[in-house]
Amino acid sequence: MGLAITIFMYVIFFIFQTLYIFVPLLSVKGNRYKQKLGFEQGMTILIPAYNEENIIKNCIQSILHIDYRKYEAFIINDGSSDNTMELLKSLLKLEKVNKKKANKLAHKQITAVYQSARFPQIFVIDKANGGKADSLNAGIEYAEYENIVTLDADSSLDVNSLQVINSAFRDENAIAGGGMVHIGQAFHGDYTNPKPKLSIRNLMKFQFIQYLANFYLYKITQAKFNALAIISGAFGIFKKSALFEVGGYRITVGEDMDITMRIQKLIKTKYPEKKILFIPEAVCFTEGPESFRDLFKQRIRWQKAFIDCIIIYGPSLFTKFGIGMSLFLIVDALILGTLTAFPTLIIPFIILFSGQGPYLALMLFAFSFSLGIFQSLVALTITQRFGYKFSKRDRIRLGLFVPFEIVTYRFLGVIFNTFGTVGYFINKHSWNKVKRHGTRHQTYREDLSDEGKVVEFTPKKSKIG
Amino acid sequence: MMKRPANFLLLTIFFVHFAILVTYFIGNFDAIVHAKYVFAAEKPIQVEHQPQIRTFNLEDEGQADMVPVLMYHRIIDENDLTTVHFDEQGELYGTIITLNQFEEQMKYLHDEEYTALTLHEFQAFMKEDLEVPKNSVLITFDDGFKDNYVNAYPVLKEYGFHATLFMISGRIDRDPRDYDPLDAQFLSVAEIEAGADVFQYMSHTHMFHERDENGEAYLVSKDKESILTDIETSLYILGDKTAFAYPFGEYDDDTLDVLKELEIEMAFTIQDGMAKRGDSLFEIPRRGIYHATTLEIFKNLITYE
Repeated sequence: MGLAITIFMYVIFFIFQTLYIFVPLLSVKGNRYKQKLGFEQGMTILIPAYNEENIIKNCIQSILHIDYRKYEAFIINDGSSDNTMELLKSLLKLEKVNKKKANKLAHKQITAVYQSARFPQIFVIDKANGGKADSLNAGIEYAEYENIVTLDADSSLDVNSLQVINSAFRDENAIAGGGMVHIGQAFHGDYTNPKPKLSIRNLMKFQFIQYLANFYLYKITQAKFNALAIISGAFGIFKKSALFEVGGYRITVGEDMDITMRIQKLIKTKYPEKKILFIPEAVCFTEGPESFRDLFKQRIRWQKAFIDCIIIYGPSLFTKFGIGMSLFLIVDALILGTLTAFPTLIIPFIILFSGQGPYLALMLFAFSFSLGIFQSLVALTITQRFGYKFSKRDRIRLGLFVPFEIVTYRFLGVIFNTFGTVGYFINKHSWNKVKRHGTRHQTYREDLSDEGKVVEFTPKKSKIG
Repeated sequence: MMKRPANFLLLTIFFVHFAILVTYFIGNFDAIVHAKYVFAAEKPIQVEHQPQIRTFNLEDEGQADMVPVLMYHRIIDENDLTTVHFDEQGELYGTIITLNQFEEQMKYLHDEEYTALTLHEFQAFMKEDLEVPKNSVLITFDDGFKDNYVNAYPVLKEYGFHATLFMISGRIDRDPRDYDPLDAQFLSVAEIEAGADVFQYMSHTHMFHERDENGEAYLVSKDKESILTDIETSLYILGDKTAFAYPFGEYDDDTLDVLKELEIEMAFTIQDGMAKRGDSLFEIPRRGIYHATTLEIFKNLITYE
């Protein structure tokens, strides 16, 4: 009986993993949005910032360099206790303004709204601390344009990102979308064309490959089945009207999955023709945690967010959510991703104590290992199709690292999922802020000085091409 | 245009690779799924298993129609006996006899020209395939204690006697250690191999020489499947399924089914009596030899029904 269940579950697992290989490999041809459109839809970028003095500058820098005209950006200072606000004031030369407010969403008290005298497209909302969801709601209230781009303070938008979104959102049925998130530490060089450079620590290489698989394989596949459950909080696009219709963000441990779920529900129950896009050509670079400790904190939070959403939306799956969405969430994410984590952890002990099943475990491991190799291979292939080139040296690095990663780092996921799940039931809402370093890896032609002047940037050793 | 060959190549490798893996898996499904990793504690014992059957000259003394099966447990030298070998009433534990007693009994058998049968001779006798001398015995030891080799083996060897050891295979000592009569030690692998010229090793279960919390023997209380697995393991280790002895002498219909399924040929109880031809091969009675068994009683036990 146990054997039948094991094999059955494994077959299901295999089918999902195979989908994640085939769908992207056969559907991704390359960048679909090379052509710049003449018409620009207005975009409002929202950047919640809580104690981000180390990194907010990078984020602003990236926004100033975006190749787009019709946009505005709101940095929402969520009652930071550090010098974020002072830094913003000195960087941007802020002046108080009166801005029209929609008054549709609840949020914490707003102290003031500022506009940058230097860069009039940048606004700062200074408000009492209320968390990320609360900050986003405050931002939506002031947003002028219909397209809301949410961005983390530790993320930098790629120069073409808004152009791409503009093109992708010509599709009138697009109600929301997710962009590609790369690990910033793995990309170096000129901002117009950052190149992967993998002379980085293994922990960062692991995250780099994981993000490639997560976005280029999983999200592309899930979007094909209308099953995208998470628009990454690091980089998402939403129609403002949809955000208002679902009542804005909910204060929870994982507001990004929560809002995606509610929009999926809105589609199923009210607008069946609408869809959530995944736009791999729209890119942002985020700063991945640089220590095990921080990575652990981040992943525990993600897992808690997932469990939270399963508990809230699980009961209405299949009725208020589409079938693709429901199946991927229940089978792939919950059963295969979470519930099997615990048995996986104890299998080595069962084998050790009873001698039972080691050959079966080895056999299944042979399958999983090859699946892992194929997935990484396909993820890297797709990465190249989107125009990123790996140097010969990086190819060797990856060739050595991927097999090693599959038998080492990848097992961390099992631990994260187990701890996160157990942690959720112990302490639902604690979310430890991950330490940000603010080391910048991309270079700009001009640099933002502390006085707020844009000055000519002189690259040191890296070639600009 | 460039991507087509890449897709084709990747997918071809993918299909070929997994086709090979799946074929291998299905082809060896039973072996992969059911094989257990053999830990040191479950490595088979390397001893000779050739059945040894002698031909007897039966003209002088006539042939036996029943054979006493002697059942021993521990043999300990008097000088080594300490309080741990005595129960609360100050009596030596029933399953222990002294080396003196054992020597005396063996000497008696020798002097009376008894033949100590091998297990296969006994089996052939029971199945009426072989006639054995009137004065024949089958000597058996239960559990496989270390003292069987240290104390009993030299005596048996001296008289040219054969004996059968019913081993609790899970207790076989994998690391050789010195004999300590205070401790209930079991035979080591080296001793098993060294004693193989006198002893034949048969199963007394692997780990199931136990009673549960209600005092019921595992062979009765446990489910059929786990009993089968346990005995199968011991057969694998000992490499011989000629005979089996029930721990505590307890068994039921399920136990008998298991033994037959495992193709075990004979099974010994602790029921007192002589082994007689034509009786069930799965309920062979034995004559328990205890500390209280004096030479006089011993003489009676091997003579009368």
